[in-house]
Amino acid sequence: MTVETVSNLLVAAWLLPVAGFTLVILFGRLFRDHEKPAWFTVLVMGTSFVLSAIALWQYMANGMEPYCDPWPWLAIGEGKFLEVGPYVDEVSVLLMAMVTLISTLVHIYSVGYMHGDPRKSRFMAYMQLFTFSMLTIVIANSLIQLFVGWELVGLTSYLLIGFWYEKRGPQLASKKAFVMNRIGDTGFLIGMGIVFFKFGGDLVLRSAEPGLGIFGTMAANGMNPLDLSSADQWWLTIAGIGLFCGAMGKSAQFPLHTWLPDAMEGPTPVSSIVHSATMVAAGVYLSARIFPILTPGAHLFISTIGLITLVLAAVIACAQTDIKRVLAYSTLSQLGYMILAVGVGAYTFALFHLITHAFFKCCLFQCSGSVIHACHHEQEMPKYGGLMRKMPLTAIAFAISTLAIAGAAIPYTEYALSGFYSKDGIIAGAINYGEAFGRNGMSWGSLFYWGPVIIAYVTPFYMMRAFVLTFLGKPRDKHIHDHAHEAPWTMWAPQLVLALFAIIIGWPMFRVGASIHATAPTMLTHDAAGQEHLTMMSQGFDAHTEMAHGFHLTHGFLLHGFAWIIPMVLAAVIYWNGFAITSRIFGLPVLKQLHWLVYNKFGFDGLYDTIFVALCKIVAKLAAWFDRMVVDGLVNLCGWLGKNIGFAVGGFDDQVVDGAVRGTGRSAVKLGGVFHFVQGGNLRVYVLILLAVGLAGLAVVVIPLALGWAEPAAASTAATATISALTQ
Amino acid sequence: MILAQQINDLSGIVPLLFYGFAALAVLGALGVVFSQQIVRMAIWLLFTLGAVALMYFLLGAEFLAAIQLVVYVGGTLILIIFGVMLTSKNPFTSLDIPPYERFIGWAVGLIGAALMVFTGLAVAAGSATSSQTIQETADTAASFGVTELGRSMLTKYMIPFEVAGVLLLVVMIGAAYIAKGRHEQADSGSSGGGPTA
Amino acid sequence: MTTALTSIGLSHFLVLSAIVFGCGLATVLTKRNAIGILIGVELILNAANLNLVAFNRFSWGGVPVGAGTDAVPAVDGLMFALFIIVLAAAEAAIALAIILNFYNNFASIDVERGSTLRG
Repeated sequence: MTVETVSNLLVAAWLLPVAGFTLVILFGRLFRDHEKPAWFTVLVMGTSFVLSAIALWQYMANGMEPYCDPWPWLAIGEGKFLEVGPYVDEVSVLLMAMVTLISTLVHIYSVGYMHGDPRKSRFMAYMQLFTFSMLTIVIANSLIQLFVGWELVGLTSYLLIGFWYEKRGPQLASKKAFVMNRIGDTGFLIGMGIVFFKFGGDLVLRSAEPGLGIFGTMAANGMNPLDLSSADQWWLTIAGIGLFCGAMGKSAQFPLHTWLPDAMEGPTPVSSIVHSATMVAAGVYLSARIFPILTPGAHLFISTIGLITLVLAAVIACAQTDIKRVLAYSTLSQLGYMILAVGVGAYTFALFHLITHAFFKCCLFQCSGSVIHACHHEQEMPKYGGLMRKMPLTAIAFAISTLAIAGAAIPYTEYALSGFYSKDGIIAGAINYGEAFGRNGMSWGSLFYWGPVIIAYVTPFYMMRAFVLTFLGKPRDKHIHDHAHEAPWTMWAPQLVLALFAIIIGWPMFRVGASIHATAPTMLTHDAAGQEHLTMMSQGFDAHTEMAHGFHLTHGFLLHGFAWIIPMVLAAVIYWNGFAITSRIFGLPVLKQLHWLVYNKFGFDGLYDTIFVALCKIVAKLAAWFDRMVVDGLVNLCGWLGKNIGFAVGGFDDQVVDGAVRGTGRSAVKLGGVFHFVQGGNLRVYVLILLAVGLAGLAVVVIPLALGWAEPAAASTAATATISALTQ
Repeated sequence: MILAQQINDLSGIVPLLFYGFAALAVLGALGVVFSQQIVRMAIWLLFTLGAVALMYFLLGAEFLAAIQLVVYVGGTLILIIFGVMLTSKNPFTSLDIPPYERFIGWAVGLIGAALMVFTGLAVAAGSATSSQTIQETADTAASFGVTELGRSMLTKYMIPFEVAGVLLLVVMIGAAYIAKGRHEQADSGSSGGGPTA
Repeated sequence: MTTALTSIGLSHFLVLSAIVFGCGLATVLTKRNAIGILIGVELILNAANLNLVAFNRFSWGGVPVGAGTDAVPAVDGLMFALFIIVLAAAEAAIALAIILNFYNNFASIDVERGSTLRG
């Protein structure tokens, strides 16, 4: 199989969901029950996955080169086109397979979860469109196409989060997600504009040389980023940060993170796909794609944002009692890891973690959905407890995913669940980055590795807390516990498949990841830290792992295999009896306030409300003042002038003009009597008369011509004659 | 342009595309004529506008097609729907007219269409290039670039371009003034409020 | 007959535009709703635009101005169409403003209410 065939397979896999969407949205209502359209969408998604899987297998097995099939879309000047079309390389092939697989499983899950919903087939159609949008991003060959997919994801997420629009919560949440994303998109547009106008006017992502990644064309046009003037490097920094702002919106990074936890208001299948394969993944994917143009400044910005999100979200997750909120903040924290990975230069591990995280987080959300489904739509963990016996399959899937996200591994061996490998790579990258700062005398750089290392301990803690509170211990609410039951097979089967992938996906990926990483990306340098960074990056993956390995040997106890056991045991001990211990601890004076603060997510929502509303008010007041003082003044001046000139002219008017007007008026009244019958004030009569006259004129000219009674020249003479006759 | 060329390379497809788009345009236009509810009319209009944009694509005027979509579908149509929502408690209201008037209207429409068909055919017959098909003129169409449009907008059509700009400004001010002028007088300065009929 | 059907030329576009134009006329004449009339006008304008673009392609753009090798293709038809789109947008804005004002005065957008304006 050639790479062209692979590309065509991927295009088919990409376009199938939009066909499914069209069919279901148009004809879904012809079916009385929603089951047939729903299963049809599953079939479409499954086919799409099979195609992508074949493409992945062929691409990897034959070791193909990256391939691009540009379709010129719109001409924008001499010989320049906006291009769309598929771009096939390791990353896009891998992500296509991942997205379609997870989407298929979520589709199956939705069939069970949305059972009985009156708008189920519409929901399934939206899911198809959502997947299509994400695939548009993944397969994109230019920033333009990526942006199209980007906005489609924004739209469909709005539709899906607000799917139950009868309720107030989903309405507000969907609006919030939309607006927050728009804020980020502003940055995206600015970044795209700078790339477009300053750097070659080309938005194409494909590489000139294989393996160089996107923006290779920039280098191919003779624009080696290393040779840029410092002013251009500033532009590039701004472009990188701008594009990353888009990613901040989509991947919910601090300070645009507040929409993601609220997006829980949507149906749980939506959460499970938004938090894993589609929406939040788009931001990380974009950051990884633009990696080659990121300057050291942009790197610092990105890793700082990633670090803040990572720490903040993990701390908040420890205090939440709503099971979906715990998972949402855990997603934020893991996204922080990925963004940090891009910032510190380990962007392959960002993508790696993106894929492993997609499986276990999707599984966790599906499990939480099953639990909520089984427990009367109760989401508060204080009401759960001891559900293990009632829903064993869900509990097993949840347990496996918890271990995977915690980075569980057998100490001192290479055997581990998927989350370990990816997180390990990210932490190794962070250590490198921090040490590069350290060597340049900036000791605060060590924050970049202490942050992720410490949070690697916090993650198992809050995940285990959720697991223990939900599935272990004694039932805390008798009524809910009696009602609980295992979910239908459409819901537990996808969970088990996802859990299986959460175990095994890391192993082959770890091998593949090394090969992707073997090509060091080009970096910009304009200061010592950047130079250091460049050397580090150019040493490539080997040096990377070398350093990380050395670190493992010295800090092996901290990381290698133990980071998950200690906090998990701790969490199990503390939360075995529900909140008995913690409620005593957080009764203490200072801790109480602290807990309140964390429980309320450090009050970001309130803060935004206060700041932005106040800001709007100030701007409005300023505008009003300007209006009153300046604009009104001008208007009044004009009015005053007009009035006085009017008085002056008025005298002349009264005497001379009015006389003439009165004379005309009298004759007009007489003439008016004649025309009164057509002046009924009825608009349609006016139009009718107008048209009748116009059409009659046209007929006089055209009909002789059309019937061959007159030569064209003669006809035009006739027309001229008619017109002159009419005007005389 | 290139897209148009590519389409024209597949010259067998052009008639199919044309008839497809034409059917869509006519369907939309008939829908506008025969639907009684104002919102439905707006939606049918959307189809016609979209089909006309596709026709522009077929004719090689891709920039115009984009403008058609952006300004008409994205702007004018939304404006109309706003108008509907602002002026009606129920957007599905319909206002009937006497049947005879309706038939007169349809008849005039039919006559107008017939006359235009006559005119069009006569003009096409008189034109030197009328025998050319869309496939044959593909080469010339390939050069209708945005560049060309931009250049003539700033040279040959400089004055109309400026005037259009001024017109839009005047329209903006005028529309704002007309739309809220009466309110101010009736409510003596207080903002908002319902209709003061 | 097959050639006339399969080779799309100027006349095809003119006929299509004529049909759309006729629909626009009928809409203007049969609606009592002011916004409906506006929609009819938009149809008519679109028909005119389609004509202009088609003429540009077939009668005008087909013969580049100054028939050299580097002749500039004429885009007058496209420019006209562009200006018409601008005017249509302006017209819609003004018309809707008038309709809003009308609605404020009559609490309806039935144009027959407007006949009370006669003096």
